[in-house]
Amino acid sequence: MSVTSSLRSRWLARIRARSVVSLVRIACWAALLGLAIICTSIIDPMPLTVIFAMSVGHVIGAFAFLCYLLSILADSVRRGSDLPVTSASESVTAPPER
Amino acid sequence: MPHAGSWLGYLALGSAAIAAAILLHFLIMKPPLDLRAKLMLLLGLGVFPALAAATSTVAGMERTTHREFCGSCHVMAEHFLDATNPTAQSLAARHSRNPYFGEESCYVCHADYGMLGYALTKAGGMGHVYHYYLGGYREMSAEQARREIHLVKPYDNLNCRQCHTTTAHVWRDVPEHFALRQELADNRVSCASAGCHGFAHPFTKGQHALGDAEFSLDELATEGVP
Repeated sequence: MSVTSSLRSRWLARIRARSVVSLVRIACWAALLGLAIICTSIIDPMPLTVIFAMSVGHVIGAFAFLCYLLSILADSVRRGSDLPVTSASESVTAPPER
Repeated sequence: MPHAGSWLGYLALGSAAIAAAILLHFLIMKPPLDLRAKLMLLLGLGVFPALAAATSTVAGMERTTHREFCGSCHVMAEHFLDATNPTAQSLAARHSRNPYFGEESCYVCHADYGMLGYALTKAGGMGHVYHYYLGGYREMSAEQARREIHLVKPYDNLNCRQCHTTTAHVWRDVPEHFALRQELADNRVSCASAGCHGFAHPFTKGQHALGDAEFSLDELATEGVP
């Protein structure tokens, strides 16, 4: 294997490994935002907050869940490629090694 | 506080709190993304947020039928104050004191009651929001709003007949009812007109428009709803 292809495969593996955790984190932050909007509409039920929660809040929530599903899919693909399992903390501090 | 003491509001807040706790745990503790973490995230990103969204939607829709919600826009402040005034004798005020209307007197009287009535009413409500924020209502003074804001279409007597069936003897025995029965059915004469039961919101018509139907609460109580 040439040096270029080796580097390429290592970078690809790193991106794949990071993308899973990153997607889950994006999903978590998005879901927290959506939940905050929903809670605001319950606590302060003014016309705009209620409409905002029923439209934007739901869209953000759906986006978060899609990110989660995508991360699961990406993780399954990564595991299919026989890459090591990473934790959320590992993925931030160090790239996975083969 | 969750509005109207609605248990759905509490359920929505509880679901959101559980989901937020799961998500914050994942973000802060950074556990390995194993099967257990994925299942927990499924709860935190799917199950509990979906429950919160569904219950908050129902609670929000229910909230939009409340009189306080309608009166939260300043152009409706006078209508709200009149409806909630315990001594007012307008048609709206008298009906708002009726326990069967509860806190939803605006909605009960102004909702569409056709097959798609609920959806059409809510679509109309979205129109109100549009007019308020983008159509200039927000900048209107109360005086200007009273002069310029009107119903989109004439008030339908069918809404009155949701409760007043017009089939009881006490209704039929009124000569004016019998004489005008076809006009009332065709909406050519409104129940809530000056010559009949008076305008629902007479302050919007000026002092001359109170009508001749200023009867007492005792009279209403003894006659009941025809």
